[in-house]
Amino acid sequence: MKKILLVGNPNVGKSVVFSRLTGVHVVASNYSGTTVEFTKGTMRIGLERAEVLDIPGTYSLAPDSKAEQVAAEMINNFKDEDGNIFVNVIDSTNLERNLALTMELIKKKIPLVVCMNMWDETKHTGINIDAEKLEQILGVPVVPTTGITGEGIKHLVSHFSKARLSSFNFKDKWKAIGKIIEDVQELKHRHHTIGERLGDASIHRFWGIPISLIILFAAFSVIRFIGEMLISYVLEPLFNNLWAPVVMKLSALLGNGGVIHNVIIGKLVDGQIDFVESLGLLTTGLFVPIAMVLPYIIGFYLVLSFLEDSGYLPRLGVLVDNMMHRLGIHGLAIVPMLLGLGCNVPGAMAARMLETKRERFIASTMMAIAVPCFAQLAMVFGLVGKHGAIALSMVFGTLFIVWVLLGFFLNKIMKGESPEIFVEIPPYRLPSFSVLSKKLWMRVFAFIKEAIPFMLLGVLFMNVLYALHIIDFIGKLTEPIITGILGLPKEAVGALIVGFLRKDVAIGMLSPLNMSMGQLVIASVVLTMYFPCIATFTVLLKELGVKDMLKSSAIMVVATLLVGGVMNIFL
Amino acid sequence: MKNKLFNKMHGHHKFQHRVEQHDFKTIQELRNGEVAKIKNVIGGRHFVNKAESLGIRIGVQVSKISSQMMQGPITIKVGQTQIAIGHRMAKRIIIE
Repeated sequence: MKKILLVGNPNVGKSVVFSRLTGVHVVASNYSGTTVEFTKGTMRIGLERAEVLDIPGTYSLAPDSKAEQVAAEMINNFKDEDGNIFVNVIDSTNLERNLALTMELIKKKIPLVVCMNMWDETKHTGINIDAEKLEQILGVPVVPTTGITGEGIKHLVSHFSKARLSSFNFKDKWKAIGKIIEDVQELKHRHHTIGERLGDASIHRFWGIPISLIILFAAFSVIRFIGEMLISYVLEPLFNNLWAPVVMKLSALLGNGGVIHNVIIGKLVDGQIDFVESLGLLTTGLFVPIAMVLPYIIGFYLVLSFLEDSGYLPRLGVLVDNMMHRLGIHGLAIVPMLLGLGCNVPGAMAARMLETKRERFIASTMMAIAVPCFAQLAMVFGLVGKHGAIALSMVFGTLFIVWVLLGFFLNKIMKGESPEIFVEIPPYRLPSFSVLSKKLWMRVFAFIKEAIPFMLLGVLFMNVLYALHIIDFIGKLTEPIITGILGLPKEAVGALIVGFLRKDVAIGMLSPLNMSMGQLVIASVVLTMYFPCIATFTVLLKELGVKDMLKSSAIMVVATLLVGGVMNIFL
Repeated sequence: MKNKLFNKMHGHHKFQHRVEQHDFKTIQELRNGEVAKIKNVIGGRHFVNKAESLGIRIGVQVSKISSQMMQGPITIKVGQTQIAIGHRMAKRIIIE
């Protein structure tokens, strides 16, 4: 099949163009390096089907990061196959810099179509580009598009067949680009817009931090508001008023007890089902993912997606860069950390945007140990939150301290030095409603698809382990550690076992154990730290390799025992 | 040992020492909003290439937007692009 490859600098909107071409929705954000691995889709051109590849953004064909390496390799691999078309996606508001890659592609003798994306933005930024003239100079089709609205995309597709080798000859890349810019681009002087002033203030040396605190506080308030509203006005009434009577009828049919009853419905508490403590497939297995976790997931991803698309995250990275440097990673590593807060899996993938192996190891290990995913967080809110804000702040305070200390020690112990931040800061943009809602839906759907089967599996697995008395057995074996060092009841080992499948269910399993506040706090911290869930583990194994994953795992176990043990002494 | 200590104090970049001895002005010393022309970009091929691909090259106008406290990164604008750059790297971008 013919291949169409989207090539361009980071953050020029390749992923949006890709979605427009293929109808396949991929995550696009307003910062460099969202696409770390190529995405594939197909489209129809006339009667033909073609494969479209969204290649990670790269500034040049001499790679700098792992994502850029992917890009350079793919371009080299596919350039000699006949019939392949390279679409060079350009940020029209940044023509001069973007043309550098175009020149490299021309030198490689690659058949090109140039897609001048973000065309609408040139209008209100006072940039006037003569696309026809650029087409004449380069000798390849040049098509203006606005990916977000879809404007020009049809035109672009109709030009695919006209892709050809450029006739443009040059010796010095930058001299050639300078000449082109002079010929095709006209800049109108204009005053700073309010957006630009706000943009500058948000990275100001004095105002930057206070502004970031306000933004983060607002972000968490919105998440909490959405989560609590959905739970108390929609999901809890739904479960209590509609679902509970159905399950109770079923329970009566099954004779209110017995092995099958316990697996499907769970144990009755005072003759009633308790959605948190019954631990059956149809009770806890559904209630935890849908009514306790999902609402917060929706809130979290709405806020995160908004922050991503607005362009604020890289600025936050600049503000915290100094502090993060002491932890062996630069400020931009805030992005994998924040993504990891949603789910550790995309967080581990996003660590690829960091340049060196050292940084990737430090960032991944820090995240896997001390960044709980939001599913787990939601459960901690639900269970530990009952003991008040102090208990919650003990959990998160401890994790934050662990996060900092871990980075600090890894940075001291590991050989080498992490490079400084050196990155493009995207302009602020008002997130597009359609892009935002698609992204939110994709992420929430991914959660539903991943979480519910695994949670049901977790509940089933746990019931089997209980029924066969395996948990009792392992509980006795591990008692010296679980009770001796961590001060938890020996039954808590069940949560640690299930935690490998899903950490949110594991936290839920702590509920019937009647633990003290101190024990709940310790258990929540231990469950976050001791090991990643299976999904995260698989991705980390792939990203870090076996050797580094073993190292990382050893650090996890040691750190957990150390922190849990110390907390047990004090709590 | 002495060499190691020296590296630690002055960063591991071999060019930095030279830069500090001469009386060059670097983008690090620009005030917020100040505009200047880039005279030289000093460093290994990797650094120079990356700088170039972001638009930081000899003869280009650069303006400073902000700097973070305690030798944090500085933010500059080159053409239409805003770029955040660590302070040690910033010291290697010389202006006229």
